[in-house]
Amino acid sequence: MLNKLRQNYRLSNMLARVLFIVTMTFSLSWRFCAQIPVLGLYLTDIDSSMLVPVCILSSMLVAVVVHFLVPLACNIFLTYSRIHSVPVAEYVVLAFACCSCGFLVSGVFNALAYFVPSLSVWISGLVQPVVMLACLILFYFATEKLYFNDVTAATYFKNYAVLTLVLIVLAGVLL
Amino acid sequence: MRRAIVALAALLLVAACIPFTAFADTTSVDDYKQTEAYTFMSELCAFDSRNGTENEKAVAAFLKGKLDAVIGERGSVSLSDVRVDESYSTQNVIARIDGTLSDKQIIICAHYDSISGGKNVGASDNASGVTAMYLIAKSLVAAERLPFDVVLIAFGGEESGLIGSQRYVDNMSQAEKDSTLVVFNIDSIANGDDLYFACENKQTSLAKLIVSCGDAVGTSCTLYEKPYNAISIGVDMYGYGYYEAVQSSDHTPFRLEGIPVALFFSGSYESGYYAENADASKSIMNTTSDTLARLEANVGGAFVDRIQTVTSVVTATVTSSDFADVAVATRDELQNIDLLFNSLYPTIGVVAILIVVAIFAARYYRKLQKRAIMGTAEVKSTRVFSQPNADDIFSYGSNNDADDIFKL
Repeated sequence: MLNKLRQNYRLSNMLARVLFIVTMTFSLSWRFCAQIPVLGLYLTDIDSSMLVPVCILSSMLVAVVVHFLVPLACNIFLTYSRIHSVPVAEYVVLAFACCSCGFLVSGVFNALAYFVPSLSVWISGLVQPVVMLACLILFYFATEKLYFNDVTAATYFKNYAVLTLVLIVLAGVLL
Repeated sequence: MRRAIVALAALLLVAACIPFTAFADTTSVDDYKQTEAYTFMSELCAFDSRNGTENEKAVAAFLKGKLDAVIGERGSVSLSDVRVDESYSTQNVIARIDGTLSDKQIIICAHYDSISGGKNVGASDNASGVTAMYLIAKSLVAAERLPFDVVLIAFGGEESGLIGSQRYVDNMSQAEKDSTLVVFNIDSIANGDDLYFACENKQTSLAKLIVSCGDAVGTSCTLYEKPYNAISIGVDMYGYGYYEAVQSSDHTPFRLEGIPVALFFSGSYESGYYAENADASKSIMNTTSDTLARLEANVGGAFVDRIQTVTSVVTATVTSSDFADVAVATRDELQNIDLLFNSLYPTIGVVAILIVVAIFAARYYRKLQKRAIMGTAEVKSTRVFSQPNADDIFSYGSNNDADDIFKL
């Protein structure tokens, strides 16, 4: 199956994008389900029967928007790192695949936080950053092995480490 | 024939008596206005506004008078000043019903202030809760003397940020905190889709006892335990480790000191607060529409049933022979809401992991630098996808092989 997928880039690309949107929707829905009602106190009151559809739709909206930003971010990163030997489109598909794995794990933990709220602070404070870090490390090793030789790997690592730091700080500030 | 007429007359007489006997305790659409609950609540709602220094002082004096009359020789009633700043101060009304032993106490509380900003009657929030507390005081005074003291507190300044209750807890000694078995808080029980109570975000012995006492006394409306984990958020507004709207009331300062609590509330029709059936059109919480008239329009006389239900359930729970043991057991069942545990430790964990990763990253980078000097710079032509061609892989859009994308 994987070998066949490797022979069909366009299908793989589409599947990776769909998987990314689905897993991100799954992950965010649990979070929104917990947060929207409280936000609704101050913004607008949401009928409880509409809560789940509103959460899923808003998560999906965010996922679709982010899915357009991922290729852009990859392009910017590779361009500013002066890495021109990497096939960007392939790199983006791999990024989608790694993010999907991360969102799947993150979604499971968000669900756990929803059902056991006393764990929510530990999950959002400790587990989610670890999942994010693991995902970034996985993506690094996958791409480094594929596209970089002994000389270029050091440059890639340096730029990637800076990117990782920026992403972790951003996640800490935004989440 | 004559016998039949006599039998018919007797039957009619019995039938005519049924509403006055079998249903004497219920509050029908017509008679809820004759209940003590309604009368007391009307008196409270007669205060145009229950916020601001002067208004709250007047209400506190009124409540002191009422509780004084009820408690009499069985205890004492006092006013405690809570000064916030030059512009605002409030008062807590503290009534104590003495028990046979004085080393333990329970607290039953409700806030009497309404939201600030104009004429806010606060019928549901929280004249209803104060009414229930007053009726509980009457029931407990009438009951046998309990082994522990019962402290009834009408808090001021709740709407301004739990000021009265926080100050009360701040002034409690550690011995007082240890000797407090349970805090029952009654807040906004009139307007909402149903009547609920919440103890902890998991099942505790206290919650089970409240449910069983509710079943035993046979209340006129059903009291539901709020489902655990409903509407919680990972934002720590008070120090619980997560946030729920039901934390925004006077029991919170007590719970944060490790004292078991039970909050009685109605769903309020707002999804942000717990509500099985949210209905924004009936939502009057924290608005000037929270009046007795609007309450009657929303739920009819059902709010009187709710007040009476809370009164009888709390009274039954407190007077239950198991209560003291259950309260002690519940203290051990409380969730860990320690601030260090919830906030500092996860942060320390993340920082520690980042430091470890950074150390490994630095070592790895040095290794890569060495390899860059010693290694070869051969071009890697590895590609994940063998098809289609490089044009398709290196650029987006313009692909002309659309028909074949699902072909594996």
